[in-house]
Amino acid sequence: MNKIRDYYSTVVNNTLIDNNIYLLEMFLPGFNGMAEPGQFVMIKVNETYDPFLRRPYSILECSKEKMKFLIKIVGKGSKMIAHKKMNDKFNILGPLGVGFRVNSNRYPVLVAGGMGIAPLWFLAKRLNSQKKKFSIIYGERSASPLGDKIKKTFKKKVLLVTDDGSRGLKSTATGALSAFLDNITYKKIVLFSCGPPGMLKEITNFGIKRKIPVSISLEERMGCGIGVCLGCSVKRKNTDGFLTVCKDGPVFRAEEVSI
Amino acid sequence: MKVDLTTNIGSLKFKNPVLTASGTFGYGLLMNEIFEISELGGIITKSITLSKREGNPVPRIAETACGILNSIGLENKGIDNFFSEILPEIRKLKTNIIASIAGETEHEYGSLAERLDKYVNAFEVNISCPNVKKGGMSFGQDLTSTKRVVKKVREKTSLPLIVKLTPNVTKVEDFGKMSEDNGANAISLVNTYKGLSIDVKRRKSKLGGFTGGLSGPAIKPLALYAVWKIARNVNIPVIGCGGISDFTDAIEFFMAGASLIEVGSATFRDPDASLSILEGIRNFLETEGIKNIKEIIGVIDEN
Ligand SMILES: Cc1cc2nc3c(=O)[nH]c(=O)nc-3n(C[C@H](O)[C@H](O)[C@H](O)COP(=O)(O)OP(=O)(O)OC[C@H]3O[C@@H](n4cnc5c(N)ncnc54)[C@H](O)[C@@H]3O)c2cc1C
Ligand SMILES: Cc1cc2nc3c(=O)[nH]c(=O)nc-3n(C[C@H](O)[C@H](O)[C@H](O)COP(=O)(O)O)c2cc1C
Ligand code: FES
Repeated sequence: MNKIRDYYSTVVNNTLIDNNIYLLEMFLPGFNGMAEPGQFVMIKVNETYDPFLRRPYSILECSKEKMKFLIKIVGKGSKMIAHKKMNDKFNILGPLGVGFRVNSNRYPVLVAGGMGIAPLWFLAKRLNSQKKKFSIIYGERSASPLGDKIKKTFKKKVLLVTDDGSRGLKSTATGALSAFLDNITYKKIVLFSCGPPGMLKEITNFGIKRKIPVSISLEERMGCGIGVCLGCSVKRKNTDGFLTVCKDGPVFRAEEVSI
Repeated sequence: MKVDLTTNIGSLKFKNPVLTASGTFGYGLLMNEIFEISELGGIITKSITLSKREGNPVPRIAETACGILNSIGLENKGIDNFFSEILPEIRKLKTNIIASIAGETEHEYGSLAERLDKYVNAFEVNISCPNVKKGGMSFGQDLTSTKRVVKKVREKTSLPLIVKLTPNVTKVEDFGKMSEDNGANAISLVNTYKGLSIDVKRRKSKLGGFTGGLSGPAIKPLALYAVWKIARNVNIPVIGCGGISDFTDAIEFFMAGASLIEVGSATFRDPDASLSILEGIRNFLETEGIKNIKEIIGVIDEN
């Protein structure tokens, strides 16, 4: 695996793409461009001790010496990161964790809710570059510019749904899944999902019921991001003990963890 | 000029005074993939218990101004797993391995020491964890219990014995003295300060375990004061810990009377913080023309 390094990185571009959501493009000197979809980084917000801890962010895209992130403002740290300007510098530790594994002959259906799109965007890009066929179901509260961007990028592969019916089907992403699978020609499916905890629970249960393998990407409060503080534990399913979201995950097979 | 950073606890020699604090560095194995940890004076393992512990519910981490509240709850896989999975690997690391041990009774501390004796270089007896219902800090808040635990461990091992104290007491120096009188070879402090943080929308604690232990820069002045008080009251080495995030912090602890230091939460911010702190200490001494680290221990002018 790629060695974890701390890159002193420079902001190349930072644009507001949606209400409170920024697309941040970084230059990471020395980064060889290798990372797996689903892997993440720990961003050091600033050089003072407030906030003290780094913040975890999924890799949205990466290439040699470059990484992109989607940053949604939800609190103090994310706000400081979102407001970084061109040429600002800060440290990025990564790539971290275990990403999505796609080596089966099953047809991938990517199910994302809200900001859960970030790791799945990377996965979709990777599948595109491997000329593999796949679909994305993207669920959001209400029609948004981020939804537009997903549609524009992955075109016919995308099914957009909204909670309030302002665009596409009035449904949650998981709610739309069953009918979607019935209407496609592929019968051997694999599901990849990231989104709010409730959605991940639903999709896990759906996978069990329909005997479809599911991989989910989890979020938990993180201290270190590298497996040493045990802050981000998640309970194992069907056996006792814990796994860490940062080191053993963030991507798990749904049958591995109890959420 | 080459500065002498070596120091001793009992018979055990340290190539330098920089250690990593229990629970913030795992068992060193993951960290060794990030930097050469054999550069450090030693590592202190995550606290080991007799049986495995699942720890507290999440969230286990809540950030506060310049600090972290944690309620991990001593999650670890227990001593059998330590012997089978971890020990064979960490014995290959070229630095001192200090086993942190935590029991629910004094006998458990004794058994842990007995079983680990000769397999590690020293013990740190954790009588100061604020995040468990049984044992932990309750031993470190009661002088008689402190005495019984230290005595018990002393009976079972001849390895250097470090007692890790909680600052959540009125007179921490009494606990230092009690430990020394019953066979401790060094005192380490501080473990975390007990604290609380509330999510006002949910009217609940931000932590799954309700209360937590505060660490990081926020506690540094408190920890420094506790170390200074202990250092004046015992005749064994003191290991300073609490909020140390750069080399100046470390130098402050030496000047307050610490012979060694432990780097804790700073590792979460910068995985190689302990190494940078070590380099910073070395540079500071060189620049100041100080040949031996011992020359700055406990040297503050108290007027
Ligand atoms: C593996 C991983 C990947 C992530 N990827 C992305 C991403 O690509 N884009 C993105 O915008 N966000 C992502 N997040 C979430 C992001 O890390 C948090 O939004 C951020 O840490 C919040 O920091 P803050 O200081 O702004 O919030 P705080 O002030 O600390 O808290 C504000 C609110 O944010 C929530 N929150 C805080 N930390 C986390 C966390 N680690 N996970 C979930 N919720 C949290 C809290 O519940 C709280 O309600 C990811 C989280 C993880 C664990
Ligand atoms: C996440 C976390 C886990 C910890 N686990 C342990 C532990 O298992 N045993 C122990 O003696 N101390 C534990 N501690 C306390 C630290 O070793 C240290 O005493 C404390 O954090 C103060 O130092 P710092 O401010 O440099 O972090 C833990 C601290 C943190 C933040
Ligand atoms: S965040 Fe520290 S172990 Fe996962």
